[in-house]
Amino acid sequence: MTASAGLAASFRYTFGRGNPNRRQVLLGLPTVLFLLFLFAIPVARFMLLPIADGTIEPYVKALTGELFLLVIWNTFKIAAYVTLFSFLLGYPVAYFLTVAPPVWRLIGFFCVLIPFWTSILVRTYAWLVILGRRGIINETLLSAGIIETPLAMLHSTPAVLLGMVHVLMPFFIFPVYSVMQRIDTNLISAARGLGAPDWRVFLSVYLPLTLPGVLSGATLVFILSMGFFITPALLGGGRVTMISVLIEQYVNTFLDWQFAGALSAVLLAVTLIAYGLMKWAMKGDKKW
Amino acid sequence: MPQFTRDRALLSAGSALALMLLAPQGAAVADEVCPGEKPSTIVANASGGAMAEAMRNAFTNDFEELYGIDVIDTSPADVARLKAMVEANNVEWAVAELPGQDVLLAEREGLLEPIDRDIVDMSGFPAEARESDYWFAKSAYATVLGYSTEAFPTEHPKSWAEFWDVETYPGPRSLRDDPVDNLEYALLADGVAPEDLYPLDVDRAFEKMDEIAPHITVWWASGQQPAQLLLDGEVVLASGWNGRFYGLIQEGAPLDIEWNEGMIKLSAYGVPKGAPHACWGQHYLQVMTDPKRQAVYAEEIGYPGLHLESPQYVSEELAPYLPTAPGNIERLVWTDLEWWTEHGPEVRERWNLWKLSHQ
Amino acid sequence: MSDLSLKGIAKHFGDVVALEHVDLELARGEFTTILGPSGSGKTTMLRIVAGFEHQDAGQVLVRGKDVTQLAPAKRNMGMVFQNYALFPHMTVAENVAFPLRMRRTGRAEIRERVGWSLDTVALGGYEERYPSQLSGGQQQRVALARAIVFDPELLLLDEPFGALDRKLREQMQLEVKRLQRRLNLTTLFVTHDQEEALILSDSIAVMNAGRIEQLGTPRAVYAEPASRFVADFIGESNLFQGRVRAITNGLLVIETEAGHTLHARARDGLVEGHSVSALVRPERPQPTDGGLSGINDFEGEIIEAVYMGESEKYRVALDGGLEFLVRWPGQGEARTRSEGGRLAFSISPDDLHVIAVDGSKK
Ligand SMILES: Nc1ncnc2c1ncn2[C@@H]1O[C@H](COP(=O)(O)OP(=O)(O)OP(=O)(O)O)[C@@H](O)[C@H]1O
Ligand SMILES: [Mg+2]
Repeated sequence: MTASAGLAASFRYTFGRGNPNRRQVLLGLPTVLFLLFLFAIPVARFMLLPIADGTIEPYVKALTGELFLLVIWNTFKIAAYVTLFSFLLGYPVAYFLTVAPPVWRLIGFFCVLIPFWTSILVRTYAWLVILGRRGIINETLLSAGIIETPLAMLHSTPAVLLGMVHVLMPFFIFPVYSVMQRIDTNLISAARGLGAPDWRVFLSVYLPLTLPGVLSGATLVFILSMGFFITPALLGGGRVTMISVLIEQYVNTFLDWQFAGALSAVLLAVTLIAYGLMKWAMKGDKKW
Repeated sequence: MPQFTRDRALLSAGSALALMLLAPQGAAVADEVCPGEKPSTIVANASGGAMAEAMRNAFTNDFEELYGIDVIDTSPADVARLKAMVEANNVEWAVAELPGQDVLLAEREGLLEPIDRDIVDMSGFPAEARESDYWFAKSAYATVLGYSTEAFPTEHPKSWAEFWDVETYPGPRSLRDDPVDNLEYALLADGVAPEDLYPLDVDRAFEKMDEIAPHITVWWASGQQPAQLLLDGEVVLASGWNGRFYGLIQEGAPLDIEWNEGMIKLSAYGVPKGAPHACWGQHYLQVMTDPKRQAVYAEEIGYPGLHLESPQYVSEELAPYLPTAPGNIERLVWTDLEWWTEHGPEVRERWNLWKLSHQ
Repeated sequence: MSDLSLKGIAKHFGDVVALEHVDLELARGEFTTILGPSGSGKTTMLRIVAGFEHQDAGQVLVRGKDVTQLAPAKRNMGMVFQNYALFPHMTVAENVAFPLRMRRTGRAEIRERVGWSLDTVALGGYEERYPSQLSGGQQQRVALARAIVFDPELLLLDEPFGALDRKLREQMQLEVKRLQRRLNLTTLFVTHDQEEALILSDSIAVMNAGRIEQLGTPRAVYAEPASRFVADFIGESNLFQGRVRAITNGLLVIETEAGHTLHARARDGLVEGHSVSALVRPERPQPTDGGLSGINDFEGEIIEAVYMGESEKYRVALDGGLEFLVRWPGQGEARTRSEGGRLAFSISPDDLHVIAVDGSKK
């Protein structure tokens, strides 16, 4: 069977009467078409642009040019750090939301959601006010006599990480929270009753059980980080180059869309690979 | 080519005059400003922000009154979007601002209609402003050295060599995240004479940039950043566009401009290729040629029009803040946009790489 | 010395009183069942014993030692949860090995103990499966294996058979009982299934609304319930409400509210005038088929006849208006008794259990 015949057959099955889930498939169709026309096709066109002239040169450059390898590596590192910190900070928050009494849970959700609902620009500017040379922290330290010259906190990789973690942490917290919430508390009791001290309960039972949530939260945060633009642009002071910043430059400043397309494709590929790896990591859990 | 353009302009002005004199049905001609049905609105795309308001007060309101067509202001200036619209054959803009090098990019990519000199009378403009068939030189802006008067109340750096001198003038600095101008600054700081700048000695420039890199805490990306950074005390020295500084100086902000060795460029408007109301776009440009209106614009935003008579309508307070003002213009250096259009991509790639090595 | 003793345990959640002064003693190797309706506090009691919940008042003693302040991990009790609580991310072997690993048992010994434990519950060969790959009964057995593998001082079982089908449940009941006997495990078992309680237990504590209503052998709680609640909750019963009219020849003469006169064996503490409930289990009445026994004779119309295989059940509307339940072993002649027919029977005074109604003795 040729590929196209196979495709046609699968198409016939998907939409045909033979498929018991046909109704659901049809229900999902408008959304799929919507995404296809407004998202997938334009993106595909943009990424085919580099080879539209019958040359693969833009792709070769994107994959071998020193600048682009450095920037992609840089982007990858930042995304990895953001993911790590989102985990370290977000996990306890998700846990707090899970076990807190209702009033505190409400307050906690509020605190997590308020920034989530605030525009990313506003949130990022808030950090400018806090971390700046004349920002809240520096002013406080200066007036307390702890430091004599303002600390340079803004416009650095740590500032970018901070801003990104702040923006992205909810994306980690919610999947983890929803998994934590579904964990049978009897499992925790069982582990304790069987002789596990609290840290063992956490490492051997609780953490593994929340792993699916951790992985999907981490995947979300990582993927969103890979394409982040505003925060690194504002808090990095131009000293933190992420691939999206570079793509923007090629689109807007150089009008070199072919190369921008190739870079986007590389970004998409790296992201998909990361996604694939995480999926693969999660497959270990499939058995249970 | 300048000669040719001027002749054509004169010719067109002359023929218009002749037509007016000859035609007894002059009124009918005036009705037929542009062929086809008159639109109720056209779209003018520009930088927006403070500039949109200045544009409106100086030119747009007048245009609307003259022709009875409403102008919709859109922003920001976006050459990428222009390219997308032209390529999709779906141009919304009748006229568009093309700051700095964008105009050369747009011209090179064939995104512009030629300026119709029969409509747009540029006879009162200096030769530099009449070089291209495709763009209208609306204004000039300089990227100058801005400094905090709080940090430097008495003595401030007066050249790029002094900007580089972190011993005498300590404190964090900001430059634009783009090699344009910066490489020139570096060479000037290294002792190259303004007239010997081009073609740029890129290697030498980057070497000089190495020296200052550790003191650049912010590589700015958008026009309002430098003045804001100075105000916030994030940096004490910053390169920036003169108009953006002027706006805040006017409000009494503690910063000022050093004009010496600033880099000056033309800022242009163009009519997008295939624009639906291209003819009306040309008329919009014609409104912008008026020296008095240009003076109004300059008062509002600090960017001068280029009509040779325009300075005489500008107030005394503003005059020293215009890059074209006597006393300023002689100290500024014209950026060679041609050089940059040719070498931009490779130099920018090197710039990005260089910056990564200084992260 | 008892293996487990609860002294005056009380616990409330907000306004809800879950336990109200509970006392209980379990001897070594004893199988005690806590039986009660849903919400009566059974699980709460078990969780307090295990240390997952802290009592408001009272003491838990294990082999004479107060464990009230001891963390669950230190109590050395094997617990099987209502829903098994197997760790879904661990294999059967890992689940069973868990308590041993927590006790830093050596590798070789772990392997040996896990093997023994899984063999004990007849699950050898399932080591590498995950809980989701097991049937309900198998999961239940893994939970049991995990609870006994580390030689616990107490075995705590919270409705372990609730999710099993009848056949499997009966089979597992017997297996657990056998295991418990063989290992001589002191066991506290929770259920709301009275039949299960009767089959398995050495003693039964019947709970109601946070209190133990009666503690006794299965026979005692079935035949001689201490309260109407116990009588009602355990087994099927016929209850007559009435008053003691007289005591003659060692027999109580009870006049029921429906107007019958009953004769029952006299009991200590009951005197003339007391309000009482008289309990008759449905299998106790004897058919009289017209001939009267002269004492506790009843007759009525069959309003429902149910054939149940090994037995037959009749709902009878007694003359005088009361409904009565009779269950007799299935017999050939039973076919003649059908709905609408008449039924006569008598009850021996020894088969009538009289319970004083609360407050009547005041
Ligand atoms: N954590 C808790 N918070 C509040 N109330 C609780 C809690 N645990 C139990 N209760 C309440 O205490 C009472 C006893 O609950 P318990 O779980 O001990 O009942 P049970 O006898 O085990 O019932 P079932 O047969 O349904 O399992 C119930 O009213 C219950 O709602
Ligand atoms: Mg329970």
